[in-house]
Amino acid sequence: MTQEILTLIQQEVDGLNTPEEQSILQAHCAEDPATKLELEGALMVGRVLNDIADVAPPRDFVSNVMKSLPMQPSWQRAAKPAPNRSPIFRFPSRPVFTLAYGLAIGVFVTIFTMSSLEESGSIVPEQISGTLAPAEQPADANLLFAEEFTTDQGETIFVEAIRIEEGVQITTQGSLAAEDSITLTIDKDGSEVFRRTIPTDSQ
Amino acid sequence: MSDEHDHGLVKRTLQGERAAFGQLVERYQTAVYTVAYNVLGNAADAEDAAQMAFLKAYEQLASFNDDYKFFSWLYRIAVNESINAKKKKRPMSGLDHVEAVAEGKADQLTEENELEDRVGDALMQLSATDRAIIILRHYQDFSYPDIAYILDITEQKVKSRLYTARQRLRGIFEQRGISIGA
Repeated sequence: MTQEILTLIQQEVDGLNTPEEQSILQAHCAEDPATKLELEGALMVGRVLNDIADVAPPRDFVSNVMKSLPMQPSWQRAAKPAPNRSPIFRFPSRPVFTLAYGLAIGVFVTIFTMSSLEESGSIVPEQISGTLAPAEQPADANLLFAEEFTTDQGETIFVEAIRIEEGVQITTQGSLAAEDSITLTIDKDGSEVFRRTIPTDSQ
Repeated sequence: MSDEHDHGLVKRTLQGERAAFGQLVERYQTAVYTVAYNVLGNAADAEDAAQMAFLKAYEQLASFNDDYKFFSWLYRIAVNESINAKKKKRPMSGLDHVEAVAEGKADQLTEENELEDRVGDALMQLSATDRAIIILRHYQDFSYPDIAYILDITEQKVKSRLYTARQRLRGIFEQRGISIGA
């Protein structure tokens, strides 16, 4: 059996032969029983393998992947290098960041005082109402990152994340182009336990 | 789903929309998990490798060249992750369901699964790379050039390894009486 015939057999298994190549292969099979046997065996293997089925991942696979993603991937870090000054004072002149910071600190105080996060593992939305007043930026806040970037549409987005205790993180995100709302999320041990979009005109 | 749609989700992710990447994970989780499972042979390692593949894809997303299909690029990461994970693990004799038989749980397996079990067991006799080639060709129906790109080998190498792997499988199938008839 020549290399050419072996190649044609392989291509036949993969459904890649042209009509001309199929004719050549059929002619060889008619003349040579060994070629015919080889082709039948190869096609049988191909049919068995084509029956390989989907294997379903665990039901929580997507959420596990999303939880494992870094808050700030390397390409975001590269796009916006951190300034030399303390990140806590990165956005001193923008009211929206003051408000976001106020929200975060308000939630921090609420959680700190209710001390219920560890027991319940979740936060009831009503528990953070009334925390919209801007707050002073505390020196001991554990700022994970604070970034500002511009989308292709020219919209400027800010994202700021603060760790308030081990495993508990508050993230605020909003748009400077449309200062009408801020989204506040709280993550505990990598899981989002609270999310609310808050109108900024409530100030 | 179209490549344009995938590329749109990649772009949105790079603009900071994490949920867009979630849609890509949702879309390709089964394909990525299946290849990892078939290369690694058990569910726990497959989950780790598949999860790591998505994590690496996210971290390297800025380097994705949209001249390629996102799916091929993701598969390249997933296959490499699975093969590397396999190299770090002890050799195994077969897939999880084969292990279930050994543990006396054969009654849990349906007759429909038996052929699949034996095929999976036969696949595990191949090297991780040859197994990946078989899965890419027969499960995902990737072309020779796509497989060459995913595994970073020449197209000629894909053909020769595919041929060798099938010949080996044929021998194993015949030895074990695996056939679906003419």
